[in-house]
Amino acid sequence: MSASVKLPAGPTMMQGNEACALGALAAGCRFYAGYPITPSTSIAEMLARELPKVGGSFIQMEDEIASLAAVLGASVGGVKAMTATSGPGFSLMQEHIGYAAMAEIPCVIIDVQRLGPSTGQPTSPSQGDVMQARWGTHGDHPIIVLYPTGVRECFDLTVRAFNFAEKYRTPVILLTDEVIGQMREKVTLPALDSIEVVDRQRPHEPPEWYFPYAETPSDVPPMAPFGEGFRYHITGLLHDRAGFPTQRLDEINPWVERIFRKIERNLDDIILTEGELLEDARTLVVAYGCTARSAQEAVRMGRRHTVGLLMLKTIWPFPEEQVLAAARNARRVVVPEMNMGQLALEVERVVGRNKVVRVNRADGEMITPDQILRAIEARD
Amino acid sequence: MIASEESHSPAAGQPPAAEPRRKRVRRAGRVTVFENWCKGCGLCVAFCPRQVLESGPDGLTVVAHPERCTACNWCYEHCPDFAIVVTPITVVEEEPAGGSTPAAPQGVEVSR
Amino acid sequence: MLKEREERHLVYDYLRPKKKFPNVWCAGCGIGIVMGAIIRAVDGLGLAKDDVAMISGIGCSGRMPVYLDFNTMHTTHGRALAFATGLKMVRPDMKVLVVMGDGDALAIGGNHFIHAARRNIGVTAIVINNSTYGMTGGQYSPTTPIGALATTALYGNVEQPFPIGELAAAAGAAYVARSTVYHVTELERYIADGIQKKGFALIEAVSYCHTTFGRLNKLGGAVDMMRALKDNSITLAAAEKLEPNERAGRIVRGVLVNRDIPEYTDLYRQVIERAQSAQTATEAEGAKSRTPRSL
Repeated sequence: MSASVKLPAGPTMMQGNEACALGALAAGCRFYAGYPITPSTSIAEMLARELPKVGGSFIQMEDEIASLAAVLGASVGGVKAMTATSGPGFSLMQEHIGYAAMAEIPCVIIDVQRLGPSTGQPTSPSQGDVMQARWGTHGDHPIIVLYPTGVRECFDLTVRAFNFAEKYRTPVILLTDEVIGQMREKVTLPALDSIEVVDRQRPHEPPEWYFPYAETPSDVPPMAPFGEGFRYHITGLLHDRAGFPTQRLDEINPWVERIFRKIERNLDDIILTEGELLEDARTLVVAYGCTARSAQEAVRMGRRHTVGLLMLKTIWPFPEEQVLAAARNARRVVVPEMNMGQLALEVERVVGRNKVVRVNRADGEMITPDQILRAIEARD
Repeated sequence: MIASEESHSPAAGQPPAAEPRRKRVRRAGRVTVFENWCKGCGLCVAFCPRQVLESGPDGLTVVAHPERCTACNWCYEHCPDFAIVVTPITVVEEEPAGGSTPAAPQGVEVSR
Repeated sequence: MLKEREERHLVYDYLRPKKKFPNVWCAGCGIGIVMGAIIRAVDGLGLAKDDVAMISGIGCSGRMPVYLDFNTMHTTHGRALAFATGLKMVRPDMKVLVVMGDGDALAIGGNHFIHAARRNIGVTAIVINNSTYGMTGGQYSPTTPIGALATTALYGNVEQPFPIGELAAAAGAAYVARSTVYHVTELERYIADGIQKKGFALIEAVSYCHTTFGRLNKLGGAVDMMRALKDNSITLAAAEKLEPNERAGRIVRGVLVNRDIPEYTDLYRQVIERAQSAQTATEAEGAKSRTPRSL
């Protein structure tokens, strides 16, 4: 017997981390395993309190490696599961992110970024894990990475993260940062029954016909939970459609192609961006996370320069088409990031290096609207 | 299982027959080796307490002395490849004089 | 004409027919023997295959689950117990078997090993201890004896080995037993008892790797190393009568720990009950305070 999730009604002052926790509960998350780390700890604390109320489980594991392992074990058991961490813990989790990608196990990992590298500055924000979120684990794998710009989006994108994980049988990383995670804003959450929740597809066929990694029209094979009659094998080794390890090229190549294809053919669903004043933009600002808030202010201040703003809510796969379209008429694309230039590399790849102006800082301080405005106004 | 029977009365006019040997019922085993799974590791051959098994010319186990098997199951329990099974059977036979190794029991199929 | 009891080879009910047999392990390897003991233990308990999960780590021991018709998962090096913890928490009704080698469980997995025991999470850990990293060619492991040779200890190992069973016992396990692949009937019984035990059960199955460790240390082949298990092991009762120096180098077989202590998922169920009754109480309070005073 479990009570249902209760979301606060009406305008509520809410912290970003809190909104992530509520979004997880609303999306049907019923298992959390994690390890305390600044500035993500309040996500764990809130779910430690709320999950048992709705019949879910919370466990504080001995480290982040074990945390993501337990999340994957729970997901295989049929339960939506997540963890939250920051830079050092995110580094530890990389091996199991790869395992989740290889074994196609749905899960959500929140990385509330702080200044790094290493211990860095636990209570200062950064956007330094952007490339790591894409390539932190070894080997070729696709990944979905989302990044909210405010507290309401923490809720919405956490729900989306779970839905993408279930729909595409993939790990999904939700990046936030110490600003977004710790800030408080007045938000009005949607009603619980209005929220679209996606569950993983279960097999229709009887167990003896079930192949956990079969080629299907959607490129996403149905996922049977353990213990319900479908006895199959999951492994981190390259495997055939039955999940058994294989070294056959005619089984490996189709698998590699399929796991990339299952993401790449669904970009319409996965890529989330928001534009402001893009129509006649001669200068474009491409920003994300807490920096997008400064960019919004800078773009308003610099309106006389016909500057537009493209905010990326999906970081990976990189929104190539959206950036290209937004930069169509732009002479200059300004990319402010709280790192030494990570997503700028993608923007440069897509629109050309000559067009891109980077605005960087990696000292734990936010990029100010003035800094961005100066880049907008600067002449070559 | 069915016991074989024997008459105890000597025929008329014949010299007295030798004292008939007593029957005994013995637990035994019928050993089967699955050659396609046997890797010839030799564990069963080395540890069989009755030397029922031998390594054949290709290294795989052969059931050289099936009649000696007492169904102790050492081979079955220790084969890492499940390549040997022992079917328990019960054998009725004459008690051997002086403790010699029993001959193949009557009516029992032995397997190679 | 004698009738014989025709028995279907039990393993056919538990092996995956689509896998290639004979199995991948070297001729004479003890891992296959442990797999047989597990099959017979599960069968003897009458468990439904759907209710059994087997999770393994990396190494030769990690290759076991793929052969068995259970819910199986071959995970990362050292982390099988962490995966198992997550599964057991959401499916406490399942029997979760965790198969690991000595390096997987005690080196890279050491932290998860002691915490799983500390939590007394209701999984059955079977550590197949051959004192080496066999799959990678024979490097030394946390259970390699002092002085033994390994490919990464060519001048002799200088590290003290972990006593696996004692470690689990000290960390809080409910059931700890040790046997060898020679004493397979005893091993099967310990595995069955461990599966039935409420709480964390650790069964150490002492085995050997004749291919790497045996060759390097001139200990012979599988037959010789199997014979050594027989010759060098003693029961717990016998060991307690010996002086420490007499006990050295012997494998002590027996049940080291068997205690009734609360299992983790049972304790967490109580957490859920407490959280839900506190919630109900809070709501009742809230409802009371909203009742108009005039009523």
